[in-house]
Amino acid sequence: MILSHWKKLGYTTKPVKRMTLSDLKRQATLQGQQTEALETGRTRLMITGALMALAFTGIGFRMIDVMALSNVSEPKTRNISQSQNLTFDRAPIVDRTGMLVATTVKTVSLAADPRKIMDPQDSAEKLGQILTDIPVAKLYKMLSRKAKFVWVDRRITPTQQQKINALGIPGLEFRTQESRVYPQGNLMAHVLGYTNVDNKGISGLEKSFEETLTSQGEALRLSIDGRVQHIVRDEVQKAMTEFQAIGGSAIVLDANNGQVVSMVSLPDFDPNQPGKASVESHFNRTTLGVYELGSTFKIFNSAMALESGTANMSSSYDASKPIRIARFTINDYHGKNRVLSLPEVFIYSSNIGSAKMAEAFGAGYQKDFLQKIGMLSPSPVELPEVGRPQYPKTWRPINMVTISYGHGIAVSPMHVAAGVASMVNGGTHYQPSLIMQDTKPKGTRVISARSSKAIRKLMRANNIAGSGKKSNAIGYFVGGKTGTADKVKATGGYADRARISSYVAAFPMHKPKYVVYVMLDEPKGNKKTFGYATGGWVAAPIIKQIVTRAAPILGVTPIDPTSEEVNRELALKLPQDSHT
Amino acid sequence: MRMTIIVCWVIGFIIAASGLFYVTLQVEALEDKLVNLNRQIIKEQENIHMLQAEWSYFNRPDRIQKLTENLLPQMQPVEARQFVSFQTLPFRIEDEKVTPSSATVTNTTQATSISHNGGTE
Repeated sequence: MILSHWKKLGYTTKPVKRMTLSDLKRQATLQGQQTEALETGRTRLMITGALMALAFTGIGFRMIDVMALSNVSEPKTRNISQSQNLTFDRAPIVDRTGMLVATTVKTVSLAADPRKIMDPQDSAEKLGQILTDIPVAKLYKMLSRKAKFVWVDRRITPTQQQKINALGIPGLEFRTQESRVYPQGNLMAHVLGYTNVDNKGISGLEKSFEETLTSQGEALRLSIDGRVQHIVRDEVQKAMTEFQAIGGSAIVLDANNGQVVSMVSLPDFDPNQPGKASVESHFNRTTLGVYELGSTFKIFNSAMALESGTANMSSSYDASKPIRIARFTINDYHGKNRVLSLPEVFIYSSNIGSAKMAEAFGAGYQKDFLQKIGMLSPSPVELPEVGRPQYPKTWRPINMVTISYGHGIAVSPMHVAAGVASMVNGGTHYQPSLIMQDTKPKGTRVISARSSKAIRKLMRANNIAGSGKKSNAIGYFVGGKTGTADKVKATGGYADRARISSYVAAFPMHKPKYVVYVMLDEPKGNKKTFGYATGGWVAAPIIKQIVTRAAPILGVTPIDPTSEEVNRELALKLPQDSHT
Repeated sequence: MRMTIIVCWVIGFIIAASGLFYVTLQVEALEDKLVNLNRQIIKEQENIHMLQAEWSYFNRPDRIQKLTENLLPQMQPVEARQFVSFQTLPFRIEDEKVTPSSATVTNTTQATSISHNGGTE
């Protein structure tokens, strides 16, 4: 190819005229030189061409690489331009109604590198005007420390941040962090618990749902209703002040699925500042505290008597003389000194009658029954703070007798509320739960529907003729049972003036929807209660208030108190002398 | 002929190159815009998140109770007797022809007749 070009341009290898020998000789040399030069040129051209081709192939490959294939070191512009959602390390918690009760927000903290701060005194004074809750002397000490890094203040407000930024002090820096916030403050303190500075749950649901909250993005929904929670807390707080009680506890429980609508333990604390609250206020009386809860246990005792078949509604027990067993004497608080029918034993809260009932079905039956309704194991509620019930290791006759009226066994208020729910709802036991469930949980049958109906009648009768009159919220057919128990002293034996007064109720009694439990720790009687501080005087009125205020929110329709249908449903032949 | 083809190729190449360059610049500009928008969305989401917490804070039941006590003293908690079932509600009186002059009279008679006829119709 190259040769043909040469020809075109006038070069030729052919001789044009006859040549002499010398000419030929000369020409041969010339020709040889020409061919040599030509060969060299061709080789050079080949090498250059090959190099160029190689370079272009390289560039080609690189272009394919750049355009078609993606590289790890490439800047991720595409990812940034893709829309993202705001994510947090910890999912929020909402109440039953969807109101936010725990959430994570980005907060700004102020840090400093003291080595870079030129005038610590001046900087401290300027900062002191913005961070008013830290004394200037302390700021100066921080800023003049020989360290690379110090936290000046955690969680500063946006306004403070703006002002500090405007100061323009070199060496100060802002760090964005996530922190847990409880907008509703004290309201659900013992339910939610709290987290530490590193956002790790260390009590309450924050602890038990640590994994769920940190792995899932969606909110955890509680069965607690914030509005009902407030009503309950408000009423218990008022009663605590009125009767100078050292503590209080209350539960509202859905009787038909075990969902806890409200759970209060007082005194409580602000989970936003758990460190500022007293140790006492961190104690959860509702699930961690176990108490001898007294006569509320007569609900279970009556159910045992009816369910075991050892008694019926017209059985009678001689309560005229105290029982002497081992070295103890069992006496009645409201002594009637006569033969009492089963409903009367319940309404007058006769210890003697209850003991005789228990003697009929025996200790083994009693223990099995209490086991079945969960009284002998820690409450299954989703909190880390659950108390282990205390009961005798060997179930002697004296234990059986005292347990029949709620002494010698200590359980948490949550145990009683869940137990009573299973007694009144038709006989199915549901595990109490603080988390909203979409499907109805499977319960276990513990008593027959017939026994359950009898218990409902007894509890309603107690509100008409017994110790529960003060808990009657008109229109809601409340029924319940009081409990007044002397507290066990730390030294052993019972304290005289320190008692636990409680009331456990359900409403509406003909078809119970909710169980309400209220307990006051060491209430003192006042003029209004004629010095009494028993469950009927101090706890029952709280029930009335809670039911009246919360029932409309809970969607319980009030019924005409004179409704024949409902009254017939709950009718019970009441004792003659109904004044207690 | 050959020249035209070459010129055509060159022109085509220039058009394609400038077109590609233009599109690339456009895409880059749009991507910048998108990044900014997404940043803004995150910012807004942060704001919404903050406002939700604030909403919950201002909806604390104890605060609302205090506000109601101070600002709506005539509002009282509902009582059971204020609830009436649908069945016990009186029937509606059939509309009478109302003339402007008789309007007030008709209203009062209606009001009284409700309490008299309630539930009988």
